[in-house]
Amino acid sequence: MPWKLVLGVCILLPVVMGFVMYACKNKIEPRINRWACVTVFIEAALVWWAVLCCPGDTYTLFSLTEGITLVLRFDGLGRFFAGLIATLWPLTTIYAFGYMAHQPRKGMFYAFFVMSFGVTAGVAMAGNLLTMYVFYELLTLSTLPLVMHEMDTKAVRAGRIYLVMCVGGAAFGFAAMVFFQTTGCSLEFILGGNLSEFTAGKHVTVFMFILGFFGFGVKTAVFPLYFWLISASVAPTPVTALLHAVAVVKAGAFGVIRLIYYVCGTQLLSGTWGQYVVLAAALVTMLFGSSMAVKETHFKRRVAYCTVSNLSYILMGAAMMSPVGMAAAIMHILCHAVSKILAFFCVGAVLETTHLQYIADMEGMGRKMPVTFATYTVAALSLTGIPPLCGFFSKWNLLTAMVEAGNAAGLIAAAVLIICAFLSAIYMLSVMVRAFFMPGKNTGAGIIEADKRMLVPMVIIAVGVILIGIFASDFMTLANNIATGLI
Amino acid sequence: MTEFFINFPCFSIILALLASAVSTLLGKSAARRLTIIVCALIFCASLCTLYHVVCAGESVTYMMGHFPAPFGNEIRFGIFECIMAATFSLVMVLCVIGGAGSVIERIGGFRQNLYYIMADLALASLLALTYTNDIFTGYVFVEICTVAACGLLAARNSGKSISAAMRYMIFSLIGSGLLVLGIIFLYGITGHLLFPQLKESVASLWASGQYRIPLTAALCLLTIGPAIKSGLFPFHLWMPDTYSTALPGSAGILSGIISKGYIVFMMKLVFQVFGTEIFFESGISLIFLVFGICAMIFGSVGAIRAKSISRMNAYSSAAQIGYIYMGMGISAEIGMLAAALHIICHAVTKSAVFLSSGELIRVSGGKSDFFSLQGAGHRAKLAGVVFTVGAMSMVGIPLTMGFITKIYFARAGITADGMTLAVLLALAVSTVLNVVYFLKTMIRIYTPQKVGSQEHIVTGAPKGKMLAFSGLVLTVLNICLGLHCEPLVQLLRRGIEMI
Repeated sequence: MPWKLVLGVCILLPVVMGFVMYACKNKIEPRINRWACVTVFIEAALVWWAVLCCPGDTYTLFSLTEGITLVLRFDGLGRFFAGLIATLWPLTTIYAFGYMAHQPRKGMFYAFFVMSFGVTAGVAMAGNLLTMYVFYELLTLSTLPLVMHEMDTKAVRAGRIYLVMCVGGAAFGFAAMVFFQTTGCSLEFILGGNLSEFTAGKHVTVFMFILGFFGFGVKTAVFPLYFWLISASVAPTPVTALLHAVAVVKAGAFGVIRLIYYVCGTQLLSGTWGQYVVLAAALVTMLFGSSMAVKETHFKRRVAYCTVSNLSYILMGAAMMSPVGMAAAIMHILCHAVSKILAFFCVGAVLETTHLQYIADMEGMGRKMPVTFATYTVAALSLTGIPPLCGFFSKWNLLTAMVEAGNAAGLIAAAVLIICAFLSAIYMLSVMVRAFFMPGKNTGAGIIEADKRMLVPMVIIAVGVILIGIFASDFMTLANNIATGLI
Repeated sequence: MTEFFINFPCFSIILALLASAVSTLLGKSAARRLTIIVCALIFCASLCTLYHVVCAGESVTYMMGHFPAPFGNEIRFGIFECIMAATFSLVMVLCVIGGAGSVIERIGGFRQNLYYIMADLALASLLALTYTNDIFTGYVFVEICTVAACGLLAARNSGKSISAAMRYMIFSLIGSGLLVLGIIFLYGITGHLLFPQLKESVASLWASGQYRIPLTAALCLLTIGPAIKSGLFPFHLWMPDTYSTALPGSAGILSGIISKGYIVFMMKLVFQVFGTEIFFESGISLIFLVFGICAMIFGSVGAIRAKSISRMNAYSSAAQIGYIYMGMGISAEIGMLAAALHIICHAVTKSAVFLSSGELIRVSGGKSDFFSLQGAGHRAKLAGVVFTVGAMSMVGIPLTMGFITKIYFARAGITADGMTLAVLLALAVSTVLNVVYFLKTMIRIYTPQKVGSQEHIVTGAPKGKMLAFSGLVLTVLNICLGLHCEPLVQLLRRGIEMI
């Protein structure tokens, strides 16, 4: 089986289809749903086929210049990420059909929505840091029109912030990347890393690692580079849900894990000041995101702040620089992805159906939109970390990893995690309480349950959240196997 | 068979000079056609010469008319010179084709062939600067180049453009003055004008320690003169006025290749007269490095503060020139390689950016402020795409040529002793600043106009096809080099060893 071709098609098919859809957007506008649907499902099938069957060989595509080669390789972590996006993308597409039904410029929306699927698949399949960096930049550019979809002043401003922070941040990652390559650290992804000694001096190397961490970490909204994520919540909800809860931000987390565990390696870095800086950044972001979420009164922005906080759980796990930490981080990528996409879907369903934006308006809504708020409850409970749901297990794993580290840093991290868990209970569950247990101000008859095309994906994902919770030990084994290199 | 190709550089210079002379007699469109044909021929000739030099594996010294030195004149070319000549002629022909529409629109009837005379002259002098083996011939063509550039700038008959051309002339003549002083110093010390003899005596004088101060002064003058002429910070202040009043084609020519011609000439001086050891020992390299970094930052800051797209492009040119000088200041091998690559990258990219912004301005009612430009990318679709790709290349987004040069600058920076962090951080910060203004403009031209603002009335005959052709060729070239740059890099590397 010419797997190189299959992987190439996985990346190129949506990109080419996106261009085609953009070029004839006026002609195919009435049938755009069909085009998007067919492309996304074929692509998802292709990616899943590659995830399950593709051998872990290295496929060299071509070289840009000396030493700069684009390489594809599917290892455990890449398969995991690719599987995740290939599951959530089709569901989001169905949701988008409902959400976007009455929005203008659907042609452009679906063109770039499809295109970014291919680019995200490229991030997952990249075989070295350079290839990942290339797709990383392309991901920013291909998702920019989605962020700016509304094209009003707010959206354009959000787009500018998004571009400057993500492309600008990547420039620092670029400096670190070229530094590592030139000082003899290969950029190939090998579990355990390639950095065998500090050829260029310990402190310079550690400094460059931190530059790289923040460079790739911009996409995970690490403090103080978080506000693009908040302002980008002006995008249509399918975009916020998929890109700013899963694809883009998880690509950032994925990039940081790649940098720490696959390029630099934990051998030399753990115990240096670099590790503590990185850990401190993650902890500060967690506390900051949680407290801002409590303060925020706008429903969608509150969930966005929750994302900021939760992404740093992943970074914290990654910053522990141990296999247990990495496994916990991977587990949280999965659990947060499904829970948060569900939470955003609910926010979007309310927003599109009723145009209510603030949390105070949610009073009594639980009775008018029972399915929406039932699924929201599942998401909220999972994000808070209530036992049978998947969020509990990922938090449990993170705590275990912190405590197992056994040092002061680990214990502080564990304490911060517990504080954040309390805060998340406040900000997630308070909305639920308002919706179900408070008498509604909005007694108007106009409010009805959301479009079916939105409800179906929500229910499917809610069931998924519960199932992942039930079979958590299997997923944990999977994460452990990835972290120890068995897959 | 390829032996015959060694005559081509000499023929090219003469052909361009002849074309400018003949153009005076021709009508306006005939002059344009002649210029395009001649530039295209010169491009092909440069490729042929390049092929010969690559096969031969060594540079060629060519005596014009087979007379030895005092009577005849020498040119010398290796891979580096041929690549630069090819770049210059290619960008020139594309700028002439792409800028033709605006020339017809803006320049009154009989003056149009004057414009093409200047373009021919500029190309002749650029080729001579690239190929020359004689420092005095170099100086003569530096002056011809200045005059031609002023002509291109002042072609548009408005008070603003004439005063901008004057300003350019003053800055440029200061540079020429320093250059000629340097040549006099050098001639006074050594008594030679040809590069090989100069190099021999400079090397022996430097080794013996004699005339150390005058030699250093000559080196300073000979490098800082061209630096002023090409607009290195803080001498970039003529750029915004000049480029914003110039025609798009002229701005493309001036920023894309004329300012590069001086840099190529200076690189030749550094390699062929002083030798890189003296250049790096004397500390001039450090000046280049520091001022290059300053140019990158301050040029970009100027671009962010600029109120119109043409001034923004001008400040961006100042920043990009900074990259080139930074590369030259780092090291003789990889630093110079990065600089040479960036000369090509910037020539290809910036000319496309200037041409496309000219078209974007035209469809916005001739206004170049950002507010009027809103939605211009929808009114002129192709120009929007060309500008977008150009902007991405200037930022250094992967799969464009800008990314490749950024990699080489970063690699060069890492080899710089003690300056590693400065160079890497400057690159990163400069990228952030580039994103701020270039991609902001990219978003701006695709933002729909506000409801109620007046519709722009497009006046003048569109010369869409010619502009589209140039823009497309430059964009495709940019992306192709971005996808696979290895052959060019290896050629340039051999070329730099060969200089």
